[in-house]
Amino acid sequence: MLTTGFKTFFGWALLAVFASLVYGWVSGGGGVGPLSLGWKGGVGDHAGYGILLWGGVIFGALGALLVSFRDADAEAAAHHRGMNSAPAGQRPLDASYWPLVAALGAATTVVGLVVSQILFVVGIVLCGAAAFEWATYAWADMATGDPDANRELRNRIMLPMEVPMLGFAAIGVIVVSVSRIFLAVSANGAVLVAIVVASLIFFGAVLLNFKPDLPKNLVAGVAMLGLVGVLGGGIWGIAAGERDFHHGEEGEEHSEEGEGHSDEGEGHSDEGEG
Amino acid sequence: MTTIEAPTETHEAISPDASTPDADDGLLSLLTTTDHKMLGMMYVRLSMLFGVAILGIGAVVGIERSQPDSIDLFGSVDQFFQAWTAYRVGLVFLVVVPLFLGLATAIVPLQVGSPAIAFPRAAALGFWCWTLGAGIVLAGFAIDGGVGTPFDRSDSEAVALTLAALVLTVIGLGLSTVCVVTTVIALRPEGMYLDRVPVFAWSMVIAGVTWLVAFGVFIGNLVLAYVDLRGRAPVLYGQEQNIFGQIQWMFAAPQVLAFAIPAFGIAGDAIATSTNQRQPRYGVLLGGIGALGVLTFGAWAQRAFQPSNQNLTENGVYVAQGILTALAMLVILGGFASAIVGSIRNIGRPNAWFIGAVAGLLMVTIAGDANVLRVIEPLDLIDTSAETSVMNYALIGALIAGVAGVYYWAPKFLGRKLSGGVGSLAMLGLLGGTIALALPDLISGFLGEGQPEFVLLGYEPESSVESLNVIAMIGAFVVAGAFALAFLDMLAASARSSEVDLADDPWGGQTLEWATTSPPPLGNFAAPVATVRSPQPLLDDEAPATDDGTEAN
Repeated sequence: MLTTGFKTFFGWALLAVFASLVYGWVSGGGGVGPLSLGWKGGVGDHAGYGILLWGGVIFGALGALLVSFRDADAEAAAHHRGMNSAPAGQRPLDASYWPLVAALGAATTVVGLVVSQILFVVGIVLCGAAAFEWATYAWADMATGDPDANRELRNRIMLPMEVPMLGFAAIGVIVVSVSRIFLAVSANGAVLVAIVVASLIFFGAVLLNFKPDLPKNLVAGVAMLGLVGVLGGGIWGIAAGERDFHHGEEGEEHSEEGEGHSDEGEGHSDEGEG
Repeated sequence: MTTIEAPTETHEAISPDASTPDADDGLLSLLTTTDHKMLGMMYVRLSMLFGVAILGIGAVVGIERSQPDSIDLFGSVDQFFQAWTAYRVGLVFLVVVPLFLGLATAIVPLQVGSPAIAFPRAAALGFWCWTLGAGIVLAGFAIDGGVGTPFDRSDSEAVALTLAALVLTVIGLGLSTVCVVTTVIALRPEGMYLDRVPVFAWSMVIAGVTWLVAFGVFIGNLVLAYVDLRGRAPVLYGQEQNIFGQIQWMFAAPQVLAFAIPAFGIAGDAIATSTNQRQPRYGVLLGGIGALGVLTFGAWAQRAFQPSNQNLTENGVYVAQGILTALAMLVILGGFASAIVGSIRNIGRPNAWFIGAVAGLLMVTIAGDANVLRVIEPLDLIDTSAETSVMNYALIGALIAGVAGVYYWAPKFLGRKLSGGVGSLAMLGLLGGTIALALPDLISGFLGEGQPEFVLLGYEPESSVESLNVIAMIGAFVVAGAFALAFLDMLAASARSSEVDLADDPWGGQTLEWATTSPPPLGNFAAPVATVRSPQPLLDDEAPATDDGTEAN
């Protein structure tokens, strides 16, 4: 039986192949050149001929695929599996961070490709992590017929790896970002930033302790905003660069410009100030 | 009027009470959702937001074109060119295609009776890739990048960033397209053969396949330009003055007409609902839309790679493609017109979505007809402003149909109806604005107005052309204003509390999406979908269809 899908795509394939032949001839191809894919004689304009012919191949392949599965009709699927009724369709899946992480990885890769090798590597790592997680989700989705059991199975295998790795990654990101901020702002500014960040964390923790029933979305949103803020600050710190450090001759003492004091003038050293 | 019958064994239904992390629409669920309705809604909202910005850029370009000798908004020809190309790139990849994909992501699974979209996580990945890619593309244009400039004075790193981000954007759109097409191909219920799928779903299959083939070639163009640009010294493809020429085929007929194919699908569903009749000659309609898929494939017609002594209008395939496309569009339009005329008394006071669907259909068909004039060699319209005219007729016509789709299906993906009065005003504004924007450029083309206006910045056009440019500028502002009105209406509706008593089928629709609640539950259908017996399953209880798709009496 020739299915509707097969007829549609096969018609397109024939038309595309026919168009490629006509195009080959009208764009200067030899007599049998377009018919023999250029083996005997020219095919005319290579780009147009090639694209049209390739279109024909793709449409033909799609048509063949569709007829193999009889247009993926529900009855055909049931018959294929020897079942009396069609199998269940695609079920709705749980929410997942990984599509967003993968997209962030891809975007970071794109930006890194142009701007910075480090960003490029970070993007590739994110994409790799997302691909691995995705694969485990896809495996777990089909493990049993019960979504809850699948979720539990997946978590039992993955959480022991995810939690420490995410913890390390989060700590790393925060440490690196905050250190870039400290190095970019003035010495007094760094102290101020440290006080503000520490206070926010402290009072946030106190609030959570006294109000444990705060909406999960609110807490997650605030945490996300905080993380994005720290990350943004870190990127800004990298872009702005470190403040000027004037190292002494022995390389032990240093001072900073913009602080109104220097080693040379006043013998005032930052070292020892903490 | 329902197809939800006693449960059969086909296609297991999902309990609407099933716990789901997507149960609310907080920030966390927005970021992590794999629910096609929420993804579709985010696509629609963001593409319309981008639309307001891109159409605004088009209006500013219109100001510059109206008085090129005395107005200097951009400061340099290169910057004008950046805005001119941002309008084209943005209209296709940030507005029209994502708007259709957003509607399709939200609605097509419902139309084919599926509990979810195919590859839900890939659909989410597609959306996020598009979102982030589109943001970087806009940033690239804003920081003196874009897709090259005629005098090579932009920031080449920003140009490279724009090209790379455009690849990401197109990959995102491609992923979403694959999900939508696979849903129609593989997740239909029993009895819904391919020749029984709703017109919009079918149009998305046809458009999607054509887009996917074209996207591959387009990415090839971008990679070629990027690699050459990032090498030691650009040899040819990466030279900034050559970049846009290589991707221009994406924004010119016939390819630009492929982006408007879903407009026929939206019009098909909206007109059938409004006339409350089965669409006569349904197979011919599907065949006509299928033909458009082949006839609008334009990746092969790359002017940048043509032999220097050959014009595309000397190419028989190219000319035949243009003429056959117009014929196919006229056949489809004729079918819709006969359906409307045959049931004119059923329509009554037209809804906003009906006005928009018909207006969009007319504009896209005019684009196909105007393209026939363009490909006829003696008229010499290639590389004139007639190219811009065809593009605007096609893309803004498609946009009108897309907005009509938002109004039509809002009960399903917003859970609310939009304002009919505001919608009608917006549709009429978009219709009038499109004619005022695109028709003058077509006439200017006959008067010899050049297509690459950027090269001619500072020149003094003929007075007649100058007057036409002023009309086009007014049209651009009307289009931008009317579109912004529709966008604000959608935002206002979203801000309102949901309508608890909203009917499942407020318009009297004929396809499966109207057989479930507004908005639908998790899993889309509370009960299994019964065997489908015609392309209009919701009419089957009233009057069964005969083999040729008409009602049996």
